[in-house]
Amino acid sequence: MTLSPSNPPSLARLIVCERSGQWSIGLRSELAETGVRIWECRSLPEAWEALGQTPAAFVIAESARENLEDLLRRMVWFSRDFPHSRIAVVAERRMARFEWLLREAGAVHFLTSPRRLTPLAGLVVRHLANIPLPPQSMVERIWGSLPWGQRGT
Amino acid sequence: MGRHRLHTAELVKLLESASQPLYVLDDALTIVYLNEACRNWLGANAEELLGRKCAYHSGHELTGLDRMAAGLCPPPAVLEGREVSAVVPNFSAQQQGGGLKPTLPNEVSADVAKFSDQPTLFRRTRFVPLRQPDEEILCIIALVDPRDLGENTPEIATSPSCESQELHEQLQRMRLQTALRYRTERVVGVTPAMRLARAQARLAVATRASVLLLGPLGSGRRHLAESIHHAGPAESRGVLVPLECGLLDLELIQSTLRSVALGPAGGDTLLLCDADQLSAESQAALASILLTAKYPLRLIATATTPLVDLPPRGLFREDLAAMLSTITIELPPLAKRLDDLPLLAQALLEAQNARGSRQLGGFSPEAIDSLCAYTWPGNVTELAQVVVECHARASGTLVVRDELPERFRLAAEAAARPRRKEETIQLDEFIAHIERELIRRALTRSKGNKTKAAKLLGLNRPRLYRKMVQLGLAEEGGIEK
Repeated sequence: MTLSPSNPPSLARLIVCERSGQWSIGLRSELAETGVRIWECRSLPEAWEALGQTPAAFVIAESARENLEDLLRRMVWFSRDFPHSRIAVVAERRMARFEWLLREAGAVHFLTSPRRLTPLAGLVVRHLANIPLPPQSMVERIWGSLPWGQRGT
Repeated sequence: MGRHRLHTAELVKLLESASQPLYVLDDALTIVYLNEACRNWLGANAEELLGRKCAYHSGHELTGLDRMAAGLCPPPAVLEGREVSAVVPNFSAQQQGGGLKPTLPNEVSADVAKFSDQPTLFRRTRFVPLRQPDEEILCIIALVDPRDLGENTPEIATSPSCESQELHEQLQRMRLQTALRYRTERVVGVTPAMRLARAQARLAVATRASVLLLGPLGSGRRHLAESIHHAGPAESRGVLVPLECGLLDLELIQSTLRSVALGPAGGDTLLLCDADQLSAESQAALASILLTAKYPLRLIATATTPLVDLPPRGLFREDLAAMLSTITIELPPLAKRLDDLPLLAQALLEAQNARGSRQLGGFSPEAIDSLCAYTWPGNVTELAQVVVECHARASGTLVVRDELPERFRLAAEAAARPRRKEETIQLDEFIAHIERELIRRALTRSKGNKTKAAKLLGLNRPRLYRKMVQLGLAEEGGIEK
């Protein structure tokens, strides 16, 4: 799988909200060559604050018993508050019983194994590559599509 | 005997006059008694709960009195003879309006709106089991605290006595939260197109046939899909499994479908979001899985283009397009149903009121005029965001025109000005400019090596030379004339 968006939008980023950092480590390795910027945070309020600044970001939130209710409450309004964003949930295996509830609430993916991050990384890259860029004129669009780097002088 | 009857009547009289709500269940968890305080707490339908068996269930898949009864069910530990304290919800607000009759989407949406708008009230309840001489459970007396805890009271989250009970209560509250998504405001509408969409949705609910929801992004397709799923009969309704077709690759689609086959109970709905974006390989895999599926799966898809229009252009599998398009419901863009806009804006504003302490009455007529003059490229989703912004910005009880986001003022100003001239180009000059730029880039990339640059450009070296001379790049590229 190719993980290189042709035009990574500058405002797009990946927000990873987790307690330990283990998911971010794996994701950094998976996304190393894609230019995707990872914003790590340790709490849902922090993640939502970061999302407010980049409302088209992709969010990966770690779900645990302690934050499940808060996460669900936030996800209820997620698609309305951040319609250009998507959220995936990662969790320990014992949280697997909540997979369908979280999916119904809007999670595009649910993952319990840090060893199976490649499909999730692909999902992130595709989302960030699909974010609409600011409107351009026809000439700008043509110039933007030319190969071999930036416009010459 | 007469004396005993007298004492029984006296006991009932005492219980009836108690200010603390109390109810009694038999050993089969059938509700056999509710005192007056309890009947008052539960509302008009409380009497109908008598004789109804309650299930230890978070209530999401239940409706009406079953749901209400489930809310009153004690944790199973009580049946082992232990006294248990638990939090009990009062679902009576949702029962009003009749969740028992067959439901239709708009009616269900209205029910759901009641469900979501009504704060569900929780009370701590002490369940006391009474035993027979042989130690079997005779009945369970439930003593309900006279005070409401409220949905978000921290006490709810911290008080349960065992982990499974805590999970049950957590699930109950989370499903309430999830149900908040299925609100009416994005389905409501008085325009003919929306009436038709609702009639078709009613048909879809009645048949469980596959449904294709057509419309532009943000037009409320997903919300309607959720409403159709949740309007189905509770006994046959499973979970809703959304698949983001534009984002998920073949591997993820297959793994999710495998989980669907293994996971939820059945009667599930697969929601294919943006089905027209499925890749060819994902279409093949999906068609194969769906055609051979051994489990009952309801299909709802959303798309911006009619799927049956795509196979002739080689863009979609014909069998899959037919499979997904049994009932096609079209949702128009918001700009084509502006008559619905005031109603939608009001409903969204009230939803925003429900989220916080700040309460607004609506929009001023001038503000509504400005909203109606806008083109709404983002449809209802954009309107929802505008409403959130206005709600935060409004200084009075009505949102006035000046409190609308800046783009509305700019749009009004732009409309008042003469139309900007179309962007034009001089084709020959523009193409020469692009050729020049591409040659420069190729030379830069090949570090000035013209043979390599020619190869990058798909030309031979002499032709590159000629082009460079022709385009005035000869000196730049180090070619002597």
